[in-house]
Amino acid sequence: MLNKTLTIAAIFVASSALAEDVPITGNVQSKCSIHTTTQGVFGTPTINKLSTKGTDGGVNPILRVDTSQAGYYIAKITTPDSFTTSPSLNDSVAWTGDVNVSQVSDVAMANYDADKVIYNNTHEYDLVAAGSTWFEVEATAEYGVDKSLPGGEYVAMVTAECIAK
Amino acid sequence: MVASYSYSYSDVINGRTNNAAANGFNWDMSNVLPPQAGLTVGGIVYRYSVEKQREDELKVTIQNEDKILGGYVLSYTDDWTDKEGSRIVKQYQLPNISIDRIGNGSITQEGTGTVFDPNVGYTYTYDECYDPLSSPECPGYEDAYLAYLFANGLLDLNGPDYDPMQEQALLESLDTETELEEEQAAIDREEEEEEEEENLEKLLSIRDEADELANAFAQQQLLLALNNAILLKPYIETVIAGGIYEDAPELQDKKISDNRRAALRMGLAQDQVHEKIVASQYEGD
Repeated sequence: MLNKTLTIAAIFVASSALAEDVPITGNVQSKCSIHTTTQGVFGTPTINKLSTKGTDGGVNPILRVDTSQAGYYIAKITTPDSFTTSPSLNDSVAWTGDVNVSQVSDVAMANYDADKVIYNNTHEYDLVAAGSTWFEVEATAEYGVDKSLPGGEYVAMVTAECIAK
Repeated sequence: MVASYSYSYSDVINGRTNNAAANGFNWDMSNVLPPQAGLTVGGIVYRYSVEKQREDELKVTIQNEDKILGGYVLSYTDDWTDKEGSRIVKQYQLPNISIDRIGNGSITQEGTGTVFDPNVGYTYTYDECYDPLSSPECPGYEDAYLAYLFANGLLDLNGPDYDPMQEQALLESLDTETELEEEQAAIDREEEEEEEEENLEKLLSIRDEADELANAFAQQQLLLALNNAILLKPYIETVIAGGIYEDAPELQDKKISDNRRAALRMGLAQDQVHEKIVASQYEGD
């Protein structure tokens, strides 16, 4: 009986010596959000070209980035360099694109375009002011040389990110 | 036991004006806001574009005059100095400024640069029943209407057209006549009773007419007041019961052939009768 009791006690002591991991959970709500305000539409000014420019019969997509904390976020907007949906293409497509601030909610954002950093087809904006900024994106795709684009649906994506510094 | 209820409502309207700066950088608020009593302005949304060189100094101000205290009841300035030109959109909440206070608006600029394509809108709120007289369905309409009638002398029973002494004199004369008739009745009871009955009926009819005259006067005043009150209902409110109205039963066309033998028989029989009738008129000859 004593032994049994000891044994149990020994087991208890051994159990209390085990390591325990206690999780700490928490959520951080992002203070930056992205909204599409205008869907883009390709126009076909020539048989081998797709363009979102209004002069080419298209519609430039517009997206709005809201941030409630000034100076904590960077907006990265990447113009497309390929179609996500298209008919079979057997020649190369030459892509061009641009991003411009079309509207601001604070005068402090007026220099975003002048101060942005461009690399590859990505436009990087330092969101130094709190509020809303509207970005207008242009995209143009030219197909091969003296070749018409095959008939069908064409879809391309603009990628926008809001990244904490 | 009689149960009654009255239907009343009070609707709060929220709205937004059109572009106040559509015709220039200065605008008259009486042309922008609806002319509703009790209207308050609770917000402003403005946007405009700027074209300038970054190093140029430029300040753009959107403001509204204060009609009561002078100066400006709202004023917002954007400093574009050392900034590129862009298009800006801003909105501000306002402490529900009364329509009686918010004055004419303007966009002004100081410095070098071009301000163009402005768009200024105000958000407002008003209660349709701020003035209970605006609709019979507003709460407190009856009290307000009575107050209106009294205030305008439309229910003044002591007015110049009403002489209560006439009514009093009429009653006194009626009393006098009644006494005389009673004296005469003591002389001849039978005649007295008959005459008293007749006179009583006559007197009652006279009093009724006097009351009616007074009522007619009051009614005339009420009708006059109703005619003066502006209450336009351009059409009759009615409800048409919904549902499906099926087509009436139709008889399908079908060929029905003539019975030639019957026609022949009928024709011969009629001919025979006709000849018989014609012949009968010569039977007497």
